[in-house]
Amino acid sequence: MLNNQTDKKTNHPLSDTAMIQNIIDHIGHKILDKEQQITIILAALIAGGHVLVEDLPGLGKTTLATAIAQTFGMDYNRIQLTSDMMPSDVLGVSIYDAPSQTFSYHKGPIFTQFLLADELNRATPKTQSALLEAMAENQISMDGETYPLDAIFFVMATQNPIDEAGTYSLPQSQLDRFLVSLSLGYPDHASERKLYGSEYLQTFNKPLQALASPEQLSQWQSKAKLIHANDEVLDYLQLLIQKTRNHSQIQHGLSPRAGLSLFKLAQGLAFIADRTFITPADIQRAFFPVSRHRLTTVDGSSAGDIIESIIHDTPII
Amino acid sequence: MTRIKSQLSLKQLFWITFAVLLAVLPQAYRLPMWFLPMTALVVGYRFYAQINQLKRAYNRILIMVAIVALIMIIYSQGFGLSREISVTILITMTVLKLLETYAMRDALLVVMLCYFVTMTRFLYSQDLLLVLYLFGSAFVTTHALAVLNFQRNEKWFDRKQINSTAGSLALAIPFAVLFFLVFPRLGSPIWGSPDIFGEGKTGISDSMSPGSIIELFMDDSPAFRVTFKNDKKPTNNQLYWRGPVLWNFDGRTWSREKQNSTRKTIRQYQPEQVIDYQIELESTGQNYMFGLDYIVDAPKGAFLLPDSMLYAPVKINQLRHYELQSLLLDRFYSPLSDKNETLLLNFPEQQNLKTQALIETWQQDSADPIDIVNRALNHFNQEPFFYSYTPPALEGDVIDAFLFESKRGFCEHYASTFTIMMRMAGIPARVVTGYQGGVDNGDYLLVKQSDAHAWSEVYIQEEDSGYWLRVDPTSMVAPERVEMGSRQIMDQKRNIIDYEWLINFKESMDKYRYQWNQWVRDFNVSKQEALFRAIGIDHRDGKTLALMLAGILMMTILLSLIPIWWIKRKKYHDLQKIYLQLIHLFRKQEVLYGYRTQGIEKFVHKLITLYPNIEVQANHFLKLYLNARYSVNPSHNQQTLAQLNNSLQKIKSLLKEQHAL
Repeated sequence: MLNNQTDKKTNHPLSDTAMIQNIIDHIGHKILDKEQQITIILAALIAGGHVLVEDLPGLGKTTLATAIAQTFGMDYNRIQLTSDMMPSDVLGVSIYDAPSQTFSYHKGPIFTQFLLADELNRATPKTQSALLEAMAENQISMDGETYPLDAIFFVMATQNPIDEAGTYSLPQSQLDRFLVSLSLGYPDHASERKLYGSEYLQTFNKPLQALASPEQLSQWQSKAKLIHANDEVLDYLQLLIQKTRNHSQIQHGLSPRAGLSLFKLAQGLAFIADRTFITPADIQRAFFPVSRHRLTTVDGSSAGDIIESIIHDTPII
Repeated sequence: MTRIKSQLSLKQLFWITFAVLLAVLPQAYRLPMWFLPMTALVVGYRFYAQINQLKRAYNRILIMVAIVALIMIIYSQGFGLSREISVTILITMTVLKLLETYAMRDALLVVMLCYFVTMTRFLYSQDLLLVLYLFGSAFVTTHALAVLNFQRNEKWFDRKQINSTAGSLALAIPFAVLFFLVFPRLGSPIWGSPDIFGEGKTGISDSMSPGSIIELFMDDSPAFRVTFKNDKKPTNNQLYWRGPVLWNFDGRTWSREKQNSTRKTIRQYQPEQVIDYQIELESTGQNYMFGLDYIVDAPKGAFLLPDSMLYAPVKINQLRHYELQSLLLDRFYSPLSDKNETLLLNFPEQQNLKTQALIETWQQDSADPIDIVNRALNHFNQEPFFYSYTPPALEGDVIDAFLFESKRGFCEHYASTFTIMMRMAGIPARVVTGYQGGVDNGDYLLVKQSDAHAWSEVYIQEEDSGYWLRVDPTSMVAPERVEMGSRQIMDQKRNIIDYEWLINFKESMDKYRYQWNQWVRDFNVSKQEALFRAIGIDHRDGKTLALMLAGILMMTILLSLIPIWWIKRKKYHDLQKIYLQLIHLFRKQEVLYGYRTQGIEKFVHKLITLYPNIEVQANHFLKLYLNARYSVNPSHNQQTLAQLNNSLQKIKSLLKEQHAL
């Protein structure tokens, strides 16, 4: 049974949107005051993209990842990346099997549905690129053999923006592999207080009940791909992308791939909003997470303000 | 700078070069000899480089070329900061700039220089034909600018693009007119007069030597234009336009006598005798002005010399208008001092003995001056004298040679010979130069350089007074010259392009030129003051001028914004209009109205947060709206529009209940 959620009063299966809304609320019980970020992550999940979370330690990155994996009932692996990790530690290794006189491949932690790659920037470039290549191609090539990854394969990587010592920051080309990037930030005052209460501690320790299945997710993914945008919306999307290219404070504007990513994420958001079409508001919401990690400013400051100002300066009537 | 390849297309280069050539060519005639070959070389090289995709020449080579050009300018035109040299440097460097025009930035600079070069041409002349040409030049320059900015396709003559250039220039016309009318005018041109350097024809000069008038016969350019008042137009043989009066003869050349007093105004005359007219004199760079014999009184800014010549203390360096009154008489009563009498009886006594002998025989028949005058005129009439533009050159005793041998000549010969003959007979006489006749050209009389003429004045002493009598010996030989005008006796071609239709064409062109002069060139301080008075501004002091200038600039900016607004104005479709209507409801609430970049969804969500009671209706509206505008099959037919409008009205009334509006 794909649809394992039902309306409690009528016992009818819930609509996709209602299910997703339930999931958002569900995760929201564990990660307080982060509904927006959860929505973006779900949209990325539905759009089939990967997520990069940049934040300080202790703001709930791991908790969030676990919550999402549990909610969708996905296989979940976590790798804590360090500078002495080899690609084989992620991808797996071929070992000579003496009795059968053959090499047998021992799958690495990457063979899962939900991979949390913690502190990606601590890994050496070699390991980073092995992981990112697998993300791009959805398969592993080793010793002339290819091993496909699961059809549902979602990576959530985290980066610690401070603590620069001993890190290898991801090059621009690798960052492009992530559909979105976001940061969680501190919770607001009331939520933080709730977090310290004993009631919350009980919820925190209990694993979340699965509300959907990977099959359900894959169905949503194929539905989202059909979501349409008319010329007016595409014009707006293109205009925003173009404005990043002519902006005086931006070094390099967004690539067409970034434009496609923007479109995909907007599809995900439109799907969550129960629409069969994208509206300019979807584009506006998707623009920040899609472009934030892809843009570098001339003076090295955060691109966030510039992205906001581009939306603010682009008329949409 | 690095050596770059051309970033311009061939089409763009073509239009830039075309604009440069059109701008510089009308000045080529006064530029050094090497200018045209240099231009051809530069243009040729630049196109060669473009077609073969050569890189730009090294900077040091370009600098060398510029220095060499500068040295050549100084060599040809001298050293100094005159207008002449400044303009030459500007033009030469504009042409040379093509050598380094490979990038868009340089191309735009060249286009701007072209406008500037075009304007410098006005420092030399403001003639109508030139203005029309420069309009064309400005058009091409503007089109070059358009081609630089919008490279639509590689078609060299893209009619659509040319039309759009025409359109944008047409938009500039009202501004040009406005600036022309109200821009403060100075009493005299700020950088010297427009015509001082050359285009103004000198015309009649203040001396006469053999051949000096014949040059003028070849020239059909206008000397002046006359408008007669009250429709009183004299007959052709009354039209003696008096110019320099020549007193002194050295055997070859006639020249003026310096006079230090002025002639008195004529006071006694019958009102019906007097004729009123206005003259528009082309610039001559000389001091004398012209008027019909005999002028009653000098106009403002000029005075009459004792020999009735009209004299302007300031040289006529621009188009000049003045009004005159004249008495159409052939004689003028005036005393003659002994000193002047002696001067006017002077002739080289050792020369022309044959003529002197002839005069003596006449004097023996009758000593009466009038008889001698008539005798001389009869002599020209009866003897085989001919009017000719191509008389043989005379040597030695020119009067004898003319009178007894060649017997061919034109007004210059007849006037000169007759005057000397009178002096030999003891009659004070002088040569008057000027113009005779003119062509009726519509509303006015056109007097051309080819109407130049010379005649004589003799002084007839009566008992208590004396008078000057105008005698025109040419009329005895070729009466049609004075009866009908100079065209009548031009039976042979003056030069190879002397065609009747060409003369007619020039005359009809002059009609337009006359209007141009009346309305544009002569729009001076006083006419502007009159215009200002008409719109209620009495004083043209500094403060008013400054205010007006500021006002004009403001107005120009505002007026330029209108076309920009018109072009940029958004054309909204029906759904956009509904959204705009919704926003407009909150135009006074900054939080909501704010900017138009938020999109309808954000706006409605903000609205719901502020006014929760409209939530249901607002969400309904939003859903309808988004479906109508962005869904897979957008359907904004009349029905949806009606639904949307209906929903909008409901939101409106809900908000009104809440006093939100």
